[in-house]
Amino acid sequence: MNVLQMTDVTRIHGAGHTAVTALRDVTLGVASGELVAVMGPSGSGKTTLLSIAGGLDRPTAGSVEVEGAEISALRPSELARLRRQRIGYVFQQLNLIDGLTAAENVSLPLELDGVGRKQARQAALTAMSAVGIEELADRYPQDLSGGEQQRVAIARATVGKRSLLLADEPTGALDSITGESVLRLLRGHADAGGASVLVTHDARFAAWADRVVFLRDGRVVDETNTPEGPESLLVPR
Amino acid sequence: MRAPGRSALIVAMIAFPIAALTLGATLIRTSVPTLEEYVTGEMGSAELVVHPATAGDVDTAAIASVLPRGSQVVAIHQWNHTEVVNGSLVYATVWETSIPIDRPPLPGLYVLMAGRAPTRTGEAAVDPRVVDVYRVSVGDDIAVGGRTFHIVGIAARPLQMSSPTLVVAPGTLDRAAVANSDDVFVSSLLVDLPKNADLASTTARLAKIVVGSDVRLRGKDAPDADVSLQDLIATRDNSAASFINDAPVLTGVSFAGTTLALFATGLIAAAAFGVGIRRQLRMLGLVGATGGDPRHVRAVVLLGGTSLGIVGAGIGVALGIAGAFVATPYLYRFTDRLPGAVVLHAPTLLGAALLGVVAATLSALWPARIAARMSTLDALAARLPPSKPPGRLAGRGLIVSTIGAAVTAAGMIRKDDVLPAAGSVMMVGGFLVAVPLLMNLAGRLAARMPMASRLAVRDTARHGRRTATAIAAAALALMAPVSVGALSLSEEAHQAQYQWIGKDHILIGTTGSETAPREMLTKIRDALPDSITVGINFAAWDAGVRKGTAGTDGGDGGLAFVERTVFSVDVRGHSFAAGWESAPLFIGGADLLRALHAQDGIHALESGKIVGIGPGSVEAGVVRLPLPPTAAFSSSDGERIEVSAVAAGATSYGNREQLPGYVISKDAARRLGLVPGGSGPVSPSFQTLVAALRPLTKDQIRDVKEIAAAYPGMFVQTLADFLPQFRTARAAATGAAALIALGIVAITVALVASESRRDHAIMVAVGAPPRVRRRIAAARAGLIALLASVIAVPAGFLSIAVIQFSRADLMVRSTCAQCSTHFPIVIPVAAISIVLLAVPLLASGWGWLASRRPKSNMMLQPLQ
Ligand SMILES: Nc1ncnc2c1ncn2[C@@H]1O[C@H](COP(=O)(O)OP(=O)(O)OP(=O)(O)O)[C@@H](O)[C@H]1O
Ligand SMILES: [Mg+2]
Repeated sequence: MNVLQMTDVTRIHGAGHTAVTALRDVTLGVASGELVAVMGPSGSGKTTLLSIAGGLDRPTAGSVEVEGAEISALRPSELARLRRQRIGYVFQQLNLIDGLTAAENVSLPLELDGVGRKQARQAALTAMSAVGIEELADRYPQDLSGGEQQRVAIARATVGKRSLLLADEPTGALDSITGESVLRLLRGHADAGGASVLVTHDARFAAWADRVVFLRDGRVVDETNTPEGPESLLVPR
Repeated sequence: MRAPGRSALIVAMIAFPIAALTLGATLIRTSVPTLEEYVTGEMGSAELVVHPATAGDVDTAAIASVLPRGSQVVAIHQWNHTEVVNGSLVYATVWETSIPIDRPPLPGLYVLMAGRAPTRTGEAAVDPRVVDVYRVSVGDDIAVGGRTFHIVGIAARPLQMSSPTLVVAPGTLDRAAVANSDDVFVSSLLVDLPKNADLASTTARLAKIVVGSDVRLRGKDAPDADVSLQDLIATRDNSAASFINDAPVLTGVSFAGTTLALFATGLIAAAAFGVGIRRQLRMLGLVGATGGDPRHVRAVVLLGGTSLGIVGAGIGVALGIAGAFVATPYLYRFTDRLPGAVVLHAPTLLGAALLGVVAATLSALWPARIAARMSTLDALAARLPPSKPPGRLAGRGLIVSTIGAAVTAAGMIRKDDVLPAAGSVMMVGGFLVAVPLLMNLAGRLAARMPMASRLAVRDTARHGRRTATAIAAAALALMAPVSVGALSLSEEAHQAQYQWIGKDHILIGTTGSETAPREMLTKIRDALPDSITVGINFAAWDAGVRKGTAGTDGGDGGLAFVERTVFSVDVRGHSFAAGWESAPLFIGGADLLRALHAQDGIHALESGKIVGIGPGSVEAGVVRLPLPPTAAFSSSDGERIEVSAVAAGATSYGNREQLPGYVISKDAARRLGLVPGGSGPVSPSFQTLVAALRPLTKDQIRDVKEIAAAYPGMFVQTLADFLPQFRTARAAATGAAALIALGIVAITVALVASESRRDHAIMVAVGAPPRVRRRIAAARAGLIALLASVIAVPAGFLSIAVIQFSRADLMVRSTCAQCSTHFPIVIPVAAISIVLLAVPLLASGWGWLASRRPKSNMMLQPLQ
């Protein structure tokens, strides 16, 4: 069974003559142990795909199942629980809460889930050390660099036991070495039995994936299992 | 407009104070008479007005004889009558004019508002207060003191609308006069002179007739006489000279009040501009990127404030004017004057509008400074500068606050009036400025709190200065219910301390001259076992005690008074300094002293001494009784007799005019030439005192009043009737202030919430259930309200406590022996608990309800 199964998903923003079809009949399955890269030109629907997979947005048509549960059938509170327990999400923009320290940002899903403060902090430090920033635990986001903030966001997405990790250009603000370490983390998550989806523009990072899905104008235009080399993955703009 | 909600908010915050100012200033202009209106209100179009010196004996023919040919004399008779109408005591005045009120010189002195002027005998025009009190209208008959008049119009004396008045057609009072025809007296004569008449010589001739040879007039040779010629015969110039125009002062006061209110709303407006600035940043960045310098950027933001200010001020002035038109017909109830047409005073209105524009511009100033200082790049990225830790200003605020506390304490110790007030202003002001420090402290404590409150505290602390202004504004508003509660409760306690009459006293009076029916007194006694019922008898000089005494029928030479020196008395918050007080003397026996709880004076009373009720009522074992004047207007010029006296009882009752304060036995009275008589110096006078001997309960008071209600013309008063009742006013003021404060808190919460919308979206994205989101919103709202409350309670209470303390001090310094040196300061528990508990609870409830689900894709898009 796939951890994530999207079937014939269509997403139309707005209505009437301003309607934008961001996704059109997209079918995508991600099994546990798999790292899938999503590539495509800007505006092709990558973020839309990810947000629907993460339960942040609802499809106009089609079905989305996470660990066998149909997302559209869940009540808001169940969906919220799914997000804080099973799905880790790294946003395209840096999305940290300014009023919380780095460690508090990381432990946020756990604390929301009722885990005690100390225990949650312990888990947060573990996740942070995995991305090499445990010494930044008590700093506030505004005192961190863009790359450090991104790593905090990744730590927040990986904290606890997540079956599905969704990352929307997590390497955008990072230098190539740090970018590699992030990819290693995603790879490791997949190798440990989780499912990961990575949106990226960078073919070098796509090379870490088991599979690459190409989107254009909201459609899956190509899917390749064995990348033939980074250069071949570059999508012409 | 990018943010219509925020702009509307700012416009409203400017518009409301300006509307109130416009309304207030316009009503002041409308109700305060101009010089012209004042003189006409005093004397119609007459050249002279004569106020006869003594009642009943005006020789109209003699007056006419000294006036130039072609003069007209109009007499106004007056009849004062006290009666119980619909359960309350009413002091009604009935005037009869010798010509109808629509004929010169009367128009202006009387203003006909509806219907027609009374012309036929038996007709009357009544003023709006009669309409209110007697519940009558044009076409009805009205009975006043047993006389019936037919109402044909509504008319009032513009300057005399404090109590119900009627003006009746010529001849009406005389014809209807039956019993107390003496009560009808000539109150004034209006004299219309022909053209070219010599005012000075006419006045001089008139004076000879009106004044009488035995009256000493104030002048060079008698500067201390009570009466001046102008009091008896007034020209239009005299009348104009007595005009005091309070419009400028009152207008100034309302401008000052509005400036204060605008300061509070300006704080919020500044916060609102501060929030709006995030949205304007890109635009400002563009101004910068296209070559504008910081001054341009600042100008853009400031102009935004100015334009909102113009809109707000315009709406406010328009609302205020509309309100003035609506309110004017009811104005007489507060001003006791008939308002004329609504006066729209252009400079005042312009000033009000300008004030609003300036306030809005100033509140945009601070965000504008931030905007101007930001780098263009930051502005383009819509990145706000990180909020700095509380700056030097907050620290200075704390220092100022400390100095203020020291000044207050010093002032209290040195018994100064000004220092404690100034100190407490410094204390409160400094504290308000130091709010960011407080919030910073709270932020540091947050780490140990549960998620929701931790976020709320950190958020509030993080937006430090921006939130602080709003919190300061809410605190200012919340101070009001605490101050109002503290002041009115303390004042009530002070009044209760004063004991106008005893807590167990019931005063019974009748509107006529008859005494209370025996049956009624028996019923009251049955309702109050062990009570004492005694008659109240004033002591009056028997005619013939002194040669030449102006005795009237019944041998009454006037009431006897006891004089005593007082240095300072504090009456209803006003301190009247040095002078003497005179209180009527009463004739009574042992029972009366018992009823007054002064039984320790019985022996002295029976040995012929005068007994003063309460400590301090007698100094050096004697009291002085001025002998009756030989004629009207010869002031009490020195002849006094001394009678030995003692003070008895533990309580001095404040009301010495209706409740006996000095008592003499019947025998001793007769030896001095005093007889029981007449009615007292103030209306109404009570005939019977019932002392229950232990404090009356509410039920007992209700029972007694019910008994009396069955007997027409009887009225019954207890201590409660003499005390000003603040309860309704207090509740209204507390409620209104709490509502305003809640509104401000709500605005503040909305502002902070709009800053935190992104955080909410992130929370939702990482899986916060709806209830956590609501909990955070509730905690944030509650926290802001609580911070404001925590500041408001001590600040509001303290300022009143300082005022009360200095008043106590005044009392101590006065040598008024029987006055309490303790000025009560009552903690307004209800108001404080509303502010401290109900307001934060309501605010967090509001936060809970108003929290909206963020658009889930908000964190996926760049910040807008
Ligand atoms: N809330 C929205 N309302 C209307 N249209 C939207 C909305 N969100 C996305 N779109 C449109 O849907 C399309 C897909 O957007 P999406 O954000 O998924 O693109 P993307 O592939 O992530 O692009 P990029 O690489 O620039 O991040 C775009 O044309 C976008 O304009
Ligand atoms: Mg995208």
